[in-house]
Amino acid sequence: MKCNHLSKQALNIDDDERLLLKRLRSESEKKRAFHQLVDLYKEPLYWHIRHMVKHHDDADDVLQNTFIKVFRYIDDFKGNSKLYSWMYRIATNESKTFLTRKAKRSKLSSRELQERLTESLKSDPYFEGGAIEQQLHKAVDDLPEKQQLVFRMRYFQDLKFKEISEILEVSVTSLKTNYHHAQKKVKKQLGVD
Amino acid sequence: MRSGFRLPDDYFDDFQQRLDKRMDEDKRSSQNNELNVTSGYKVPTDYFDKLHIDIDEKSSFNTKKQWLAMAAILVVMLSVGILTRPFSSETGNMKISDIEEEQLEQYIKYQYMNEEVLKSYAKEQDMQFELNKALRTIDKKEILTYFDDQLNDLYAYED
Repeated sequence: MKCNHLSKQALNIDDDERLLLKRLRSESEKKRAFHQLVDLYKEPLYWHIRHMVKHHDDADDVLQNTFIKVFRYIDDFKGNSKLYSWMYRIATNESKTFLTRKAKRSKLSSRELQERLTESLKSDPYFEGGAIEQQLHKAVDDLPEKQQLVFRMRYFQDLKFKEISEILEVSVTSLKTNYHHAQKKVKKQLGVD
Repeated sequence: MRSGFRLPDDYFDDFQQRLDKRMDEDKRSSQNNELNVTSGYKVPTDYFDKLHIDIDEKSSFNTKKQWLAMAAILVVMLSVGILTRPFSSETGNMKISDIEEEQLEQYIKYQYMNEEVLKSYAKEQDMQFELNKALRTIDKKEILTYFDDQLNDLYAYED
């Protein structure tokens, strides 16, 4: 099963997005427009964050922080990119910040923290994968940061390369190369060459 | 292959409400974090309104002072001119060696009489009194002659 992805409804919003943005910037409409925005993006953003922070409670916390930041900084959004890609970037940054803080608090390196988080999935009530899934997450953790991001977005979230390219602001060609390398390494780790 | 992650039942059902609650709490706590304690400093009533006026007055006072200083220099220069005129007319094409040392010292002393020196010699009120007195006694013609001379000197150095 692939996780809930960025839905078609959410993606085909070129015109709707403009309207939504307009409402988000209007004092009288802001709250209602924000509710609509949350409804549209809560699931894809949740899964994006969950794959980075791994545990549900942490994902819930980071998702809320992400929406709070979106609400707070919506007036600074200049429209140079798509709204969803801007929100994905906020979610990515929030997740990274969360992990950095957690590592600092636990006096661990980010690498050690990743290992520990993956290891603790065994006892997580919201992880129903077996040893092979855990091994997959471990293999992804071993990838360089950029490849981790691309792999998770493509493999787990089923995002198109074009969408990932807009979110990460990287060319599709570079993403494909990154994904290809990541896939190869993961397969090797799992012994499925 | 599955990721293995799952969601608590009905997680998204109340997400919006929880988010709203969290945003309200954040807002309240940021308001509470603001110290509602004043510095205790007070300014006199209408201080800032009057400050503007004070600045205006001060700046006009400064200008007045500058004019007074300029007038003082003018007076000194005119006095020097008046004092030296008979000497010059009498001497004609006199050489510098013909001038007595004492007279030369007096002349140099007057030349060094600048604004700062004048200020150090007299208090402001005294200086104003002296200046007013001097200005009353100076003949308009003398002032005009002085400036004419200055202009002539100026043009004399032009190509």
